[in-house]
Amino acid sequence: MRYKGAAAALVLAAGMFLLPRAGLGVRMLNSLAIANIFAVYALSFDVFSGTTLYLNLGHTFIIGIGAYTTALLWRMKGVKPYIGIPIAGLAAMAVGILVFLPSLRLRGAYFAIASLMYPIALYRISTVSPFSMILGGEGGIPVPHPLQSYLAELPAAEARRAFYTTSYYMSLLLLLASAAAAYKIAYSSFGVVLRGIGQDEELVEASGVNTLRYKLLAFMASSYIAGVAGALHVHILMAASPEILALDTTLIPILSIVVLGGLGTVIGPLGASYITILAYEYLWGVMGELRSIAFSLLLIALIVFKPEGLIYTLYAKARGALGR
Amino acid sequence: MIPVPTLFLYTILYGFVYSIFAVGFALIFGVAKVANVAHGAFYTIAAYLYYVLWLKAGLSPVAAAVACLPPTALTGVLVGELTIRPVLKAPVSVFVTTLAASAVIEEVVRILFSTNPLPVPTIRGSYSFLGVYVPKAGILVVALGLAAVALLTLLLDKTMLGLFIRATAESWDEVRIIGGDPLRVFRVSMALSALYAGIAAVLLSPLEMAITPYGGSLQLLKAFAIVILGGLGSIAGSIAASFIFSFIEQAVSFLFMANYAYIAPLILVVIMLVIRPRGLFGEEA
Repeated sequence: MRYKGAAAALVLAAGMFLLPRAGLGVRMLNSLAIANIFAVYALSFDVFSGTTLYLNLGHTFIIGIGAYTTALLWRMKGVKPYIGIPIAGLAAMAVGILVFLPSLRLRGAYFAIASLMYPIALYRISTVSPFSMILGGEGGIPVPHPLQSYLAELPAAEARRAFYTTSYYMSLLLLLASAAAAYKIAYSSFGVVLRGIGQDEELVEASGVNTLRYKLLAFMASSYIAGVAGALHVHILMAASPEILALDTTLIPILSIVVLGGLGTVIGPLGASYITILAYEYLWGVMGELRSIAFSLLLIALIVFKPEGLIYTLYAKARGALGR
Repeated sequence: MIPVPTLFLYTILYGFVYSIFAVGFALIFGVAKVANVAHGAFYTIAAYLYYVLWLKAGLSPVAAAVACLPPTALTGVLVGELTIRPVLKAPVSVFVTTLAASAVIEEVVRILFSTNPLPVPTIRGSYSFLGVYVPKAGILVVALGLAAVALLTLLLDKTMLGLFIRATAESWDEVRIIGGDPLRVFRVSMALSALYAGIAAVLLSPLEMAITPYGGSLQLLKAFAIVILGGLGSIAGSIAASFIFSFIEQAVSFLFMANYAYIAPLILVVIMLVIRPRGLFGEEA
């Protein structure tokens, strides 16, 4: 059983590696790269929120910290992306702990409300002076592609395709590494404790487990992965802009992926991300600006009409924490 | 040098607007034990309706203010019916559905009116009071704000509806036992809650002299800080916290720069969470 799963994962990974060879256009490759990144966002969200059932709506804040860290390092010190991206992960983790440690003592709605404040505030802060002078305002900070120097040497005709192919491969590598890490966390004895916290935190505490320690570790893992993904995302987009913090362009797609894929399943968000992001990208051609409205409505419908689905089971448990 | 009387005037002024907005959020948290993230969208809807009715349709400012409130309250009921009631038993799903509802409303406003701020005229003129420059629009906000807060307090404390709302906040089952309909109470509360978000928009827009599609989410951010400070679901706590929050925000603006005030709510909440996670008036979390 175990080996069957591993074999299936390997075949899937190999297939994903061969995808760019299947004669896909650059636009499709670009969409797939974005889908990989969003799968990592969803996975990292799932590692903490999916297991402990603490709804971290501040996930885009963590992603944003990673994004702006590598962008600022590049702009101020000329730090190359391959050094900037891992540092961005560490920065996201450090800032995440600093900001969320106080709220990790909160339960249910209190935690979700407190966490949602940070991305909204950072979005505003990044667009007003004096902060916008440093953070680049609405337009953001221009950053290079991670393989800029390699791409610059290619002839112009090849460079365009190589840009998207390398973006796809880098995002795929990150996705596979994150999926392995997330799977390891969620399905280890560590993950059992996290799920226990999601089921009945008081019970876990009563059995002598320091739940704060477990929550913190899961949160750190989640933040590191999210920070790295945020950093790679802006290097692929070639700009770190406030859009990465916005609720409609980042948080709603992540939540849709997680809801569609199944909370706490880790593997679910992977497929869901491809469906969601490809739909999101291609809806632009069909309905333009209306796509994010269509998306939000779809998200509502999913949760309302599939209450036995994913988010419901999770939150029926969280209800206990609210004392209903 | 801080101009102390001006600081206090603006503290009171914004304190009233924030209380009016925050009590609506606290009311729904009290009645249904869910956080309605679409509360900011009610503010945005009212602000734009007010703008259209007043400056495009040519109604008088007072008539436009009165006319924009019923549709806002109706939106509140609709959002409640479509995105809160079906998932009422899963309080955290409500976060996702109301967040999506709020994104829909914000996006519609953005498509119709673009993201640029739209100018709103203010009431010109000012009084000189104990050597302080007091704008007329400010006096109006304080007077109407006081009236709105007082009315809601009276409604909750002295009327049958208020009794039912308080009872529903205690226990839905017990309300059913005494023959009440908690769902109806919830619907009325949604209308009241959106109505108060609308009143906040009508009072604040002329004072800020502009409206933007993000106005509501900015108010919501402040309201989050306020309800965490005051204790979730506590009306009295929200009102008290609104004035504390307003004071800190004004003090930061006067001492440093207006834009630094965006950071104030975060710092305030982090400090509060460290020293007293349940808020000033909240029950054990």
